[in-house]
Amino acid sequence: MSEGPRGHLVFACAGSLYAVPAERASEVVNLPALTRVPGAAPHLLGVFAHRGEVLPVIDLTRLIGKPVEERFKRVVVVRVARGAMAFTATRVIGVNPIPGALPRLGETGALAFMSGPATVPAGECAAIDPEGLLEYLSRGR
Amino acid sequence: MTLGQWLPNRARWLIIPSTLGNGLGALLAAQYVAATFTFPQGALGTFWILVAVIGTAGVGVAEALSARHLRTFRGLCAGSLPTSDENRLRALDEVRQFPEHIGRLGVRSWLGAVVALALSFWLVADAPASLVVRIVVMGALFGPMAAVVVGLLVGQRAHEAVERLAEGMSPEDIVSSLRVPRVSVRSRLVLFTLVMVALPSLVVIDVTRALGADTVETWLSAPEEGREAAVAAAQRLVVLKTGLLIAFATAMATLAAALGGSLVTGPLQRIADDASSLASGRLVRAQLIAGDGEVWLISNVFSRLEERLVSMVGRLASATRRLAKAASSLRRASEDSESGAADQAAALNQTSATTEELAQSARQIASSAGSVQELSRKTLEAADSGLASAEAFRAAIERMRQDNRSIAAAVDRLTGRVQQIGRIVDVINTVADRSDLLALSAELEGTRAGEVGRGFSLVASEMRRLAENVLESTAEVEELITEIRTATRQTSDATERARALTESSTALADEVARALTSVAQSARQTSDAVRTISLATQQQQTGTDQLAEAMADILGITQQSLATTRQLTAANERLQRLSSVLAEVVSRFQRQDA
Amino acid sequence: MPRGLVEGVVLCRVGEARLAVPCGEVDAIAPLDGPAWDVGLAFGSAAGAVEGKALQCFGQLLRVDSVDVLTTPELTVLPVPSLLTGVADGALTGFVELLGALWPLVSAGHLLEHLRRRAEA
Repeated sequence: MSEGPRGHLVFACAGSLYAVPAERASEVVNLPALTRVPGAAPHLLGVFAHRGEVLPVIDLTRLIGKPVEERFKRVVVVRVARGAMAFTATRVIGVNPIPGALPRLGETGALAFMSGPATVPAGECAAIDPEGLLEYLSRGR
Repeated sequence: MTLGQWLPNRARWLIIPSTLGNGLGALLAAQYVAATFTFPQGALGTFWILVAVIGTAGVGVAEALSARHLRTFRGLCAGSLPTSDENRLRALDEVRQFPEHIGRLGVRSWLGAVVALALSFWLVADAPASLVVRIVVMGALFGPMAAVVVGLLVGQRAHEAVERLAEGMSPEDIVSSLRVPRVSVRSRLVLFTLVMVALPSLVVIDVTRALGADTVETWLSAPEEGREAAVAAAQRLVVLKTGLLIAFATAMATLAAALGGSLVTGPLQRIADDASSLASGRLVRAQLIAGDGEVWLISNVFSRLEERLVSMVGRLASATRRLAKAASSLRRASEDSESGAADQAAALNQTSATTEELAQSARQIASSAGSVQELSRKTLEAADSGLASAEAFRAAIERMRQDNRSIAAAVDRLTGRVQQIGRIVDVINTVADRSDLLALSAELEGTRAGEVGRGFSLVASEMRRLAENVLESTAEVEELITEIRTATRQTSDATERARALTESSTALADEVARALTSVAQSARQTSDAVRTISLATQQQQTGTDQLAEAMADILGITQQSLATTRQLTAANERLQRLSSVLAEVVSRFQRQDA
Repeated sequence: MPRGLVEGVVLCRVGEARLAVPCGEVDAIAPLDGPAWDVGLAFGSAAGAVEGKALQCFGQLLRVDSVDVLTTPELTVLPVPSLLTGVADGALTGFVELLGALWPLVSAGHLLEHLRRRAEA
């Protein structure tokens, strides 16, 4: 399957660039106060209520095993069919086109749901597969 | 033998030689008359009877009269009078004059008795006048002889009695209370010689004449043929009788001479003995030695001399002992004094050295005081200059504080402005952030709208870029603000520190000023004190120099004193030696009665 | 997502974390006395302070720092996001919005089970 470049929302998280498909990125909001969830994994920083919905916030640095103590300014809300989640972001770069066929960054774990590296004006970034990642994260329960 | 034991019957003892002597003399005279004279028939018996009667009476009268003269002595002998000094002196005077008295009395008695015998013989026996005359002449011849002999005999005893009575009494007292005897030895010797030479000669002449007459009578009365034999017989008788008379006279004269000599020489001998004792250093208690005439005077003088000598020697011995004692203690004192003087000299030497050191120290002090004064003057100058500097410093600090205050106020104002800017920047940031988010959302929306929303997305993207530019600018502004805040905070801290520093500096400057004032005051006081010390030290130096000189003088005097003390010690030693010699000399006079 | 209702909750604070337990599941609120399950373990935090309160649920004690009881009749329960379904051995049953904050609503029984398992692990 050959796909042309698609628009991705590129954001920086603790020095690394990530990208989510623009059509999955529903919103960028300032990081609100989070509520911690009992029994949750470490990368799940907490939840916050947004427009009558409870959104879990994922710390990508913790998710890929490189935890960084940084004050995140924004969260990128990603919505897929199964549900919604939010990624922490230091800075949101903007929408950039990223080629469709990119190699996966790993075989197992969360990296299996990231591909790249994709070159964007801000640098090289990892493209996240939101559906797969949500599926993966939900499986852990 | 005490006086009390000696006294009884001594009155009789004293008188008895007179009685016996006169009695014997009377008998001899009578015998002479009887032998040399041819008495008428029967007259011789009468003569003897008369001689016996008148002689006894004369002796009795003489005894009674002499007893009257010895009234006090007899009282003492009989024990009817106490043996007081007064009585003894009176008795002594009586006894002393007794021989002379009894001599005179004997002569008078003899004359009286002879006259009485002659008269009575003339009247009773009708004796021829020649016989009466002869009796008178013989009495006159024999009487003085008997009186002389009696006087000599009594004199012997009187001397013993006088010495007995004088025993234990001071010769001085005795002599001073008695009269000086009138009769001298010379007159006595003259009288003695007269009696003892002239009278025997007269007797011999008389006898010779009488015997010559007898011889002539014998020659004439004898027959022719027997004349020569009768004359020869008569011659033999004359020789016999004359020899007897001469023998008698010689015996009397010898006796008298012996007695008289012993009366004179006895006391002299005793004086000589006593003098010899004295000369040999034996001191006996002065004892009155009885004597007559000049001998009495000599004995008096000697006794007094002896007494005075004894007393003097006693005093001398006592004085010698005291002198020896004094000399000994003087020597000790002088030795002590010498030792003390030596010590004193040593101490003075030391003191003198110390005084010299003191003077040296005083000079050093004076010198040091000068240095200190100079130092204190410099200190004062430095302190004054320091005070001025401290004042200047304080003024500078004050200006700095005011500047600091201005800076602090400026910083405060700046901080206010920066805060305002910060707030404005926050507002801008918020707006830009929302603009960014809004633009992002718009871009996403535009992207989701596909080709239709491309232009919208571009605009949104530009808007985002603007917003981001604003955010970047505001970030820079924020950084600047942060820097300004840091700088102002640092400035504020610095001004605060400067304020604290100026505060402490002001305090320090005040303290320094106070300290310097105090130092200046102290330096002034020190200067004054040093000036006082300097003056006092100069004065002291003068005094110390004088003291040193005085000490030197004293030392000299002390050394002289030491020399003098040594001389004194030597003199004392000599004195002690002399005192020893004197004591030894005095010790030769050993008091026999002590 | 179906929205449930709950009648009265016990609001608990454990450190900086919050927790809401339906009143129906709490037998009693007692002073901390004797052995109790430390709710802090569920938040990955260390054992809490010795002081605290205890919720008696199903005969067992849950230790928390402080307790408030809210007896609001009908509280809207926000559903658990799909990503959190089954978390804490199914103890998380939803969220309630109270006092301007979001509170995780947990089932006491499941929480006890979860804590027991954590303790065992």
